Amino acid sequence: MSDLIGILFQFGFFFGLLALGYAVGHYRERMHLRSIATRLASYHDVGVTNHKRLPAGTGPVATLGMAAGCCVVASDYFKTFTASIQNLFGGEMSGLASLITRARQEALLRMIEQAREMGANAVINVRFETAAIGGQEGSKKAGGVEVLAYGTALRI
Amino acid sequence: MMLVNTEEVPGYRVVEIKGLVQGNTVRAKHIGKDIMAGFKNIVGGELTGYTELLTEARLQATERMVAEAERLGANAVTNVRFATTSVTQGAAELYAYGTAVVLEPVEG
Repeated sequence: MSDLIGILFQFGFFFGLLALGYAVGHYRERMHLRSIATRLASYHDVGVTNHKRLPAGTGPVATLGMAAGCCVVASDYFKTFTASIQNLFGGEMSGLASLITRARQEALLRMIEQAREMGANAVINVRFETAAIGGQEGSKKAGGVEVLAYGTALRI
Repeated sequence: MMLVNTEEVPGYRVVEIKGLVQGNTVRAKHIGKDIMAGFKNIVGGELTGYTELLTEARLQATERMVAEAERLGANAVTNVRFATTSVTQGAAELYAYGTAVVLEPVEG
């Protein structure tokens, strides 16, 4: 009897975490995407490119230095679980893809914010860097993905 | 000291290349932040503690790189690159490298 309660408790705990991860994770993702969209719209005055140099014939340019933005994100319990199921069959892990995309956009926005503070209206030679931090291979311990965006801030 | 991640600097001319400069640091957050990050793996979202940690660490790596460039007598570092490596759990190495150069403004 006590074994049954133990098993039920474990299952309850698991599904509880799954539901919590889904509810909170989903809600936060929606809020974040909305915030990214509004901020992107308000920064349209800053030109961003990953070209190394500006097109010929661009007016006088002042180089202001480097701007960088960084963001570390973690997967929620639901996404981690879905991904482990998807891992059995292969294919795209859409939940994790959207997570990293969000982090990349957030890092890019932070870079643009920093460039604006420097008085720039363009960022050239933008590079993205991704690194897995924390967490150990094959364990579900705290792990996150770091995304860094950096480039050279200019005023044209 | 000017830092750019391009090979050329708009409005300036490279007069002298001083050589490769680099800076690195390995940082970890205290156990409390690691535990908080563990909870974040349930609900997902940004790990603010780690974002701060990496931003600070990257600044320090950059400062070390800049110090080396100053010692070489450069006034700018071009083609700056960053790299991040996870060393052990909860610790990360931040590495910044670039080319120390002497820049001169282009007239007209």
